[in-house]
Amino acid sequence: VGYLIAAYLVVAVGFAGYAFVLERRRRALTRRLSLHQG
Amino acid sequence: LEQWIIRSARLSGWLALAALAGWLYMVVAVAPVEKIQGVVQKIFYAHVPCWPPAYLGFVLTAVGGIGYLATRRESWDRLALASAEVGVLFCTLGLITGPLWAKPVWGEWWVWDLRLTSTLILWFIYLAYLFLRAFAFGSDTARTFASIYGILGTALIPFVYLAVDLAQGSTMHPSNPASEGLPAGMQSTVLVGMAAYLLVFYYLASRRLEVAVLEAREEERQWAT
Repeated sequence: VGYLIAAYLVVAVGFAGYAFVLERRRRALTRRLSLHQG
Repeated sequence: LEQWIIRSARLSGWLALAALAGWLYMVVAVAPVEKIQGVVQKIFYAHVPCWPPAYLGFVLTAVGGIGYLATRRESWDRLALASAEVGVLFCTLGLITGPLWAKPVWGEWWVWDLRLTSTLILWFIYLAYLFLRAFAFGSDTARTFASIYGILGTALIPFVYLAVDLAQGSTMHPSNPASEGLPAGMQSTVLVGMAAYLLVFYYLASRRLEVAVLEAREEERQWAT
C-alpha cells in the first residue's frame, strides 16, 4: 500500500507544485508590469 | 488563438479538478482489485494516463516549431516552449510512478528494456530542450535552433510507443494499447484518468503560455527603458 500512496502523492505534488509555481510567477509578472504601467 | 487559450485557463482548471475528483472516485470505488497484483495494481491508473499528455506536449512542441519557422511569429514559439515544459512534467511523473509500480510487482525499480530506455532518452531530449531555452534566451537564432530541435525530437515518439512491439517479448511492459482487453471497470477508470490528465495538461499549458506572454512583455519593457 505504501507504493500505491507514494505514486498518487507524486502525481498530486507534481500537479499542485507546478501549478503553484506558475501562479506565483504569473502574479509576480502581472504586478511588476502593472506597477510600471501605473 | 493564444489569447483565447489564456482566457480559458480558469475554466479548464475547474474542469480538470472535477475530472480528477471523478477519476479518484473511480480508482477507489469502481476499479476492481486485481487478483494477482492486489491493490498495488491501482498505480496503473496514475501511471498510464501520464503518457498521452507527455506525447501531446512533445508533438505540440514540434507544431509550435513548424509554426515559428514558417511565420516567425513568437506566439508559435511560446506554444512550443509551454508544451515542452508541461510535457516534461508528465514524462517525469510517468518515469517516477512506473518504478513505484515495478518494484513491488517486478521486484526491480528499473529494467533496461527497450521501452524504459527509449522513454528515458526522450525525457533527456526534452530536458535538454528546456535547458537550451533557459540559457539561450530570446534571440531569433536560439528560437530557430530550438524549433528544429523540437521537430527532430518527435521522431523518437513512434519508436518509444512501438518499443514494446519491437522488443518482441523481451520487455515486461504489456502490449499496446495498454487499455485494450481490460475488464470494464478498469478500462473506464483508465480512460477517465486520461481525460482528467489531458485537462490538467491544458490548464497547466495555458497558464505557462500566459507566463510566457507576460515574460515577453516584461522583456520589451526592459528594452524600452
